[in-house]
Amino acid sequence: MATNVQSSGQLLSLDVIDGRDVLPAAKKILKQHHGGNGISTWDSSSIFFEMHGLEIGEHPSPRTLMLLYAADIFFRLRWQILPALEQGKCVVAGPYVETGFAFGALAGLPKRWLTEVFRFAPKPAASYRVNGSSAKLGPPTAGFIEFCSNTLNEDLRPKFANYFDDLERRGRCRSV
Amino acid sequence: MTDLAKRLCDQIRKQGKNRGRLIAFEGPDGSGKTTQRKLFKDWLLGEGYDVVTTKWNSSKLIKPIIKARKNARSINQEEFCLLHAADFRHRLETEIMPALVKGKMVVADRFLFTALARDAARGLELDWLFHIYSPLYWPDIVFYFSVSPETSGKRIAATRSPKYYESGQDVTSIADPFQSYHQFISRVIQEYEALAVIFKFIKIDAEGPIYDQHMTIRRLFQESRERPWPEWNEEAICDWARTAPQAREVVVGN
Repeated sequence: MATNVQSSGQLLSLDVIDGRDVLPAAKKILKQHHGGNGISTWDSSSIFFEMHGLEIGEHPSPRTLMLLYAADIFFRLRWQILPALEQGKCVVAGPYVETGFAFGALAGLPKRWLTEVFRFAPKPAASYRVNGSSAKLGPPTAGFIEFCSNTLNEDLRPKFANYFDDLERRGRCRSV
Repeated sequence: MTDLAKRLCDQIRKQGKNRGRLIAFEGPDGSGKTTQRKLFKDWLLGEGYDVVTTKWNSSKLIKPIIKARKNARSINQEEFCLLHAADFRHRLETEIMPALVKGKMVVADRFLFTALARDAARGLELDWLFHIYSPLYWPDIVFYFSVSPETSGKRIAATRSPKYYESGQDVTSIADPFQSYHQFISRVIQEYEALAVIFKFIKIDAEGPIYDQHMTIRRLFQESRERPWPEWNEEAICDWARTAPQAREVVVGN
């Protein structure tokens, strides 16, 4: 089920607490890489933007949010990430699968379920994170964490920060 | 098991024979399941039951997103699957399980098995599909309306031309929607037939008279009322209580 990657390109993942940090951080990472490069950002499929625009009182549960997040990642893989990798480019995916795992862990979703949901996603060659965030929570369309925080009516940023701190301590990612 | 999950399970159990039941109507397009679902629902209402109907791909929140992408023909098999799974999960958590806990009858016009049959026919692995849809609240009865690909095709063609995804043109690459539909629905029916054996569906001969089918459904439903609540549904209730805020509202509401 894993998506085949036959390329000389490189996939790098980037996790942020503040959605507005993705582009500057991704550009910083890409400066260290030569050749054509690309950035794949959250909600390129516009699923979350459209859902927010519906203004329906119903809120999706964490599990539903995770399925939608996986659909967005698949869309990004199909249209942005895999084509760039096939051309030998370096692509920063921000956010990527680890943000999904972080949210799943915070929401109490089983790790096995998350692993299966994302089993189509190729592993990144290296993982980065932006340490810290602005004082004020951004609007729901700023990033996945902002969307989830608004949906679940709780500022989830400190919990995400702890999760990524732990990942960095274990050498699973490094700060940009 | 959390305290909330225990309370929800106890609430279902203490209703005994009067507990809510989930009855799924499954089968290919043109099998007549919607006709039977309507007849059954009317009968249930006449018998005094509180009935909730849930239809495939119908959540207010996710249906518009799927519809826009179907119209644009822009989704592939995996996205198709994940978006439908999100729609299903949302309805399960906000419509189906709350109604069941409150002791209502839930009549589902298509359930999980629609996704399994269609997505497997699109070439996705059944094992991945089960994970995507888990944990699942299993229906008390699944009525499977069995028809041949020819009958299904004829019934659809009598009223309209099959749509792009309905006819499986995204996977068959056949330009003619009718030809594509025939090939795709044959695969879907094959998957349904296999699922019918594994999950012990109640098979209804959907080529038979409408009235006979309806009477069979009534009889089988009445017989099923003797069966206790399937304990394996505890897993879905526990998960719902742990992760979905709606679960709390149901208990608080009572």
